[in-house]
Amino acid sequence: MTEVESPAPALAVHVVLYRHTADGVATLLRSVDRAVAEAQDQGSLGSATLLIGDSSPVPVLSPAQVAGLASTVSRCGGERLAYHYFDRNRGSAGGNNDLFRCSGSELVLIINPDCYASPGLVRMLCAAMDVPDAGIVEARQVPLEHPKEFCRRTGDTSWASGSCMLIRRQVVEVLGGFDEESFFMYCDDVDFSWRARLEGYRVIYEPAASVFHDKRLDAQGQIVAGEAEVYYSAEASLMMAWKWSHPELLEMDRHALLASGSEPQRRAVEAFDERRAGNRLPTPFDPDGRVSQFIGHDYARHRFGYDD
Amino acid sequence: MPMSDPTGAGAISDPPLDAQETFERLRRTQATVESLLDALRHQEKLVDDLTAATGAWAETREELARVQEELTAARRAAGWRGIARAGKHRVHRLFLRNRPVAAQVVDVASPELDEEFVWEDTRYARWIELYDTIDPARRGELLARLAQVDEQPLVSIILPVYNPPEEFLRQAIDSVRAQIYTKWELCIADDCSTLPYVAKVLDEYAALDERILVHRREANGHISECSNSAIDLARGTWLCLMDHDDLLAEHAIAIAVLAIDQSPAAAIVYSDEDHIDTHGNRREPYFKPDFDPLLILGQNYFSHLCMLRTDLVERVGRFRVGYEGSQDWDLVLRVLEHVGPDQVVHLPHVLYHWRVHAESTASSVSAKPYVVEASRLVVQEHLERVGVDAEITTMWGTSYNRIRWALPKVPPKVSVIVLPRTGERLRRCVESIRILTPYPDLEIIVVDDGAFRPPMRQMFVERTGWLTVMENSQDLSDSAQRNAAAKAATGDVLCFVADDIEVLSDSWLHEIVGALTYPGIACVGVKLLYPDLLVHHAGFVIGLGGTVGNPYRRGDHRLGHGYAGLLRLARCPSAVSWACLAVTREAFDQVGGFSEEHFTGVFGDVDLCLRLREAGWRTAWIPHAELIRHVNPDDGGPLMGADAVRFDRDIRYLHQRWGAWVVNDPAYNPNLSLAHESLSLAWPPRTSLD
Repeated sequence: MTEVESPAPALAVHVVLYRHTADGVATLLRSVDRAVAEAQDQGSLGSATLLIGDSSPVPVLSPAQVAGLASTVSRCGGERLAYHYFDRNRGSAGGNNDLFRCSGSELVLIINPDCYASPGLVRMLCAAMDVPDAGIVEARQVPLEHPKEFCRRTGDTSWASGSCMLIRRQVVEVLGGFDEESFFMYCDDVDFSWRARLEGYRVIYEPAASVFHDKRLDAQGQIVAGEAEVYYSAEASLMMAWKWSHPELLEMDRHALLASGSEPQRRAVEAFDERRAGNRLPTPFDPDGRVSQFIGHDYARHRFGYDD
Repeated sequence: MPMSDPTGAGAISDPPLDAQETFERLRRTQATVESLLDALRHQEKLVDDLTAATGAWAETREELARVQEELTAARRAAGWRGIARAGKHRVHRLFLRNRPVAAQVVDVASPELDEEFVWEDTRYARWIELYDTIDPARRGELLARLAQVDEQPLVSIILPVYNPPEEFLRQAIDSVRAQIYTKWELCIADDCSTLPYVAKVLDEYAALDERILVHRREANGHISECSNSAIDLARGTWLCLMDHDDLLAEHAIAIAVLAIDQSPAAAIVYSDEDHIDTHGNRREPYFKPDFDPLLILGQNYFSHLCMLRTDLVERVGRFRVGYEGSQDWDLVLRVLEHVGPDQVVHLPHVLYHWRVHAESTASSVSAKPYVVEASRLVVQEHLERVGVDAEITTMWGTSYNRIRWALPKVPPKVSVIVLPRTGERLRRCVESIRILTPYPDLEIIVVDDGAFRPPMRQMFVERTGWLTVMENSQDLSDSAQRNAAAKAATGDVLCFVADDIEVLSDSWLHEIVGALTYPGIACVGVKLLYPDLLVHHAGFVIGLGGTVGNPYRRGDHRLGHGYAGLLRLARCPSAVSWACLAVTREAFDQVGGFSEEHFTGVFGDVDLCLRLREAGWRTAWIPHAELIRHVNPDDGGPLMGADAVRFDRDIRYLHQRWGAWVVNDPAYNPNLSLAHESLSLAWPPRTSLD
């Protein structure tokens, strides 16, 4: 009598583009395809599909380029590769939600287009997912990561970054995806992680699964941020304080941004106030602070700091 | 004895004024008077200036009138160089991505700097690259399909020429020679061009290609006569109208011939179009609706590309002299009088590139007055010929035609039917109708399903004779209540309105009833506006957003032109909103009113309009009947509970019953997005070249 093994889980890789280049996408896909191949060959992964969503003002890929990509990647190529042009900027939360609706696999890997997968990425993420109650596994971003504290024994951490995370679909279904109503492009991942933890899922950091993330610092070691990034970042921090039941933090942030913030930051406060006046804010979560952590401007205790 | 004081009081309380002080006061008064005099003189000077300016203004006006008269007088004598382009004065909205038009006006002058901003021209260039480019595979596919066509018609391209820039003339002829479909002839008539290179270029091409025929007219005779000279050369069964500096897409005639092969009864074929600048950049695509009998009265949207069957053109007597500038519009209207609506075929592909260059713009401005008059006249005469009593006027500041419908001698009785939600809203609705509707024969029926508070009800009941309150059970669906009210109504026209409307223009009912007199039209909707006068409803597009959508919603204002002028023009969308929907009793009874089985929550209006369409009636939308809807712009949030269940069911049935419309609303265009209400490009289009 042979032992019945549960079949290796299927994977969908989701990439949301915004004004990226076709060449950059091709590089990413080749690295992902190689990582998928390693996991499949090692036996921890079943079939894999690639879903590309495009939020750009004009499509990044032409039908011919999509066909070209589908023929160059081996494991996620051909029929397994699909490209959706959203014809609007859906943000990271909305874009990923749209892609969730297009795939049905047990596991979903969300990866930013400015990332580059190491060969062992998928294998190590899948291995880390294979523990009880694991809902989300986060890869280690190099050379710049969110240096969140984590449990050295289990890998448990406060939240996982959406730039590269493996998610169990069940979590997506329980949570209803990312909260795109509240978050456009930042903190959707923090919020998602915390809601998952409230539901009893574990969020695990896997340092052995590494991904290159093309982040840039200026000569002063500061993250280079455009106007839109500053705006959405301010918007997200206000929303986090509100949604995770820290009204005193919200007021501090509001006043600080209004008093000494840049123009986009003040606009973000005004937009938030308007939403609050119009009663269009979500119901606050986690009043007892069971999972949320607000430490300085971070949502976790950090192992080290590199910015101030 | 004290000194006597004549006033008897001042001595003590009023010490005598010091002379110095008196002098000081006098001096100040004098200064004040002088400054007032100064001011007066200044005012007098202003009055003089104003008088002089008024005089100059009057002179300018006289001068203007004289010049206009001269222009009108010169109508037959002037060279027609100006005319050829004048019809181009069609206002295209700049396509911008997801932006309200109020902001677009600013955008046009100074593009926003935020990252999201992308000129629609840039998007269109990419769109062309992806979906509107003939690569070898597509060319092969087209050739293979053409080979299947048994009777390939000879297509005569009619090209009247008068002094075009050489480069554009060459490009125009080259675009004909590049046609994938080869069975064409190019019939050129030169209207005595004075520029020396024209004859040389034409001779050169005639020698190069035997399909190019050139006739040199002996006298300059304008575009109508010159086009007729070109028709003299034509032997084809189809005529294709072309201007001397425009371009045909290389697949233009091929696509047309394939379509004609599919619909052998076709009499008129027209396509989508765009503009092309002197550098060859394409922009401002006009993706048009399928045949719309009202829109063609407001705008000659057939041109270009427009192909007509030769025998019909001969039958109506070709182009008419005296209508230069709108001679092509005049021709299609006269041909339309002899063909049925299903003989007009729309090709949803950009097959014609309309050249825009400095000369064309300049000449269009100088030629404008009589061209605009011609565009009014051709429609006015068309309506007279088909026996429709209406006056055509030109909308101020545009070259669009407005149709001013005449009411029948005995105007039909109109029953306005309102389903109130709250008494307050009802009061505003009914009062505005009462005060602002000078329509002679009107009754208002208010259906009470328990929304009234007793005093409110009393107030309405006291006005009986003018207003009927009908009691209905709360259990009935809205559709059933509307049907019951229609049964009780005594009017020949039923006008359903929502209780949150407020009449804005007093001619609204006049406009509605007028439009209902137009042959074939049984249902009419109006321009609904938000209280801030942004557009709420301008006719539905079926399939927009996956269900039914409101194009332009909050994207344009009351007097906005919309896409290619469509917000200013009467036209026939597939359906209109029952927030104000007027229907003839005859047609309403014929299709059995609103469905009480399906669409009881939403889409009942859409369902009615589409069933009317199946029965052969059309729905009209008219821009000059305007109502305000007092809805919250943020309305439309997620539905809850039973409403959500009903909504889901209605959506499913919409897709089941009207699936073809959801995929391709014939009053919309497969190249326009179903994801946005702002009439932007579809990625990819729901039509293909193969």
